[in-house]
Amino acid sequence: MPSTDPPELREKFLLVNQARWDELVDVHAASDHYDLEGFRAGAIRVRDYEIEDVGDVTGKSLLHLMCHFGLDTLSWARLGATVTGADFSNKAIEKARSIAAEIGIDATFVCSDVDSLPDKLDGTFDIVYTSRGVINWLPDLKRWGEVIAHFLAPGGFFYITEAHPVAQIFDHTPELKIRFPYFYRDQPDALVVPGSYAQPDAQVKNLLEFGWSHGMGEIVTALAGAGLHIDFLREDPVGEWDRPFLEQTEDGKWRYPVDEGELPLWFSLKASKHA
Amino acid sequence: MVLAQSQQARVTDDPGRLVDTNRAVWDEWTKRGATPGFQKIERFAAGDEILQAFEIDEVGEVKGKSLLHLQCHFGLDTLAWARRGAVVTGIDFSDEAIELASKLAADFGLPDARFISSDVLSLPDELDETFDIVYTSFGVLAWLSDLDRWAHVVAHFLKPGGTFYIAEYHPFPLLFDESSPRFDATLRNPYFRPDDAVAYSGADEGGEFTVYGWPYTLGDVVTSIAAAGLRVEFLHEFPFSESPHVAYLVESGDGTWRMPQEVSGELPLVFSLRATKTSDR
Repeated sequence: MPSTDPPELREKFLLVNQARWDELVDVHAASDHYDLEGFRAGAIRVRDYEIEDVGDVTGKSLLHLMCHFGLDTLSWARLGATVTGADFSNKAIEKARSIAAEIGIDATFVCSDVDSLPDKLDGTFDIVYTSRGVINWLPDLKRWGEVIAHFLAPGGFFYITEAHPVAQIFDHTPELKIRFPYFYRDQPDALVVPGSYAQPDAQVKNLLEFGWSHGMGEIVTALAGAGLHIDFLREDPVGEWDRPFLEQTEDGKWRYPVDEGELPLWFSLKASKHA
Repeated sequence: MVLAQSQQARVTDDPGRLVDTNRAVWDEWTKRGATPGFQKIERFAAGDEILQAFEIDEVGEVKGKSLLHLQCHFGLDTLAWARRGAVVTGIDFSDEAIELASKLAADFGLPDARFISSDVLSLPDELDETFDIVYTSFGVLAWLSDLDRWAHVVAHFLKPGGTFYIAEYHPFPLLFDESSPRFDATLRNPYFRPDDAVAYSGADEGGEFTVYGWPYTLGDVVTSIAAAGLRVEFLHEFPFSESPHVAYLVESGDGTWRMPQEVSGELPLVFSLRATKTSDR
């Protein structure tokens, strides 16, 4: 669906989000959630199922969109990829570069939002990757699909693993209550979020964030419409995000209480650019 | 149709036997004129368009094109495509439905419409042709015991460059109590299902019945089509249905059915997917 909000208004929403994400970099770098010390010691932060889905990355070029301060990007580098990370937060990119230098990984980090990345980065990649908390920050999914297709080399593929749009419609309450839109709307949802998902008790000054809903159909169509071939769409009843209506699994993930039903909480999708 | 679903149970019987049971029920429903499709005959006879506007838009021009309609029931939608100029073949597993379809084709002056009695999954044994368009719609997927095989059947019958199109009820509203007239956000049905069939028991004017279904997720549909070698062009989701296929939907005045207003926001009730058989693979 095309966006009709005035560009200058959208620019303001994105500046608010950027200020928040700038501030969150130091909070997250100090959090147990991101465990920077463990990462410096050699941890791989991308999940086993992602490594299986993406396959061997040795010698491949990988572009990570919306990389935050780059721990997942650098994890792919540890697995053998030649990596480039992009994020709209300058603070995040500075931090990513300093971590890369510190641990001796040759990686490229570019400060840019997704929409204007083609103006700031040359070349194409074997793999374009993005994950965990990206879709809702994007006002224009059609453009997102075009940027992904632009950066893929013929024969290359895109991979995303992300919270399921259905899981995003429910309020953060113990009872299931539908609160957020499923379908895209020009006007984003404004949320006041104290702390952060990685550090709930953190003192954060920039509390406001704007998010856009996108349904599963919009996600698939944005990629297919940009010329990519969908390889698979896998939905999962287990997700990575805590909500009051979910319970924790043995391996620290979250799912709807087993006896009470099953929600699609997570999805992974792979799409290829045919030669 | 809303199956007045009193209970659900997992069934591990041979799918072929369950499909036989379903076929007998569909034969019986067809004989009695008990499905919602029968309510459209009068409108069709009056010359009204019974296909959904978005289907006509998304399938595109059909004039002069060959169209295979899978799971066509008694063929009214098939005949609607014929009226729009397609050269149509409808298939359904119910002999009663196919017999009625052939009769209606003659009655409505569309004698070139062809109808074949066959299960989808064994259609390649019955029909040796390829088509410009393979079409299927509304209430079809859950009757299929093997979605991957279905997708291969779809691909098998498409010409290179041909188009597959499905418009179908979205799996999302089935998470909740679909037989209750009041929407309740409590989860009643799991989104993910085992490979086993689910038994739906209910009753209508003809008495009690049990049918068997295999519910699929949106991801199952996309992946099965992609894995059969088709290129997905789009997946659209709609906040309205053409019928009250779950009981808590409310009529919205424009001929569609939507979520009740007290539920915040619009939810996906129907989806459509178009895919192409490209010649590059």
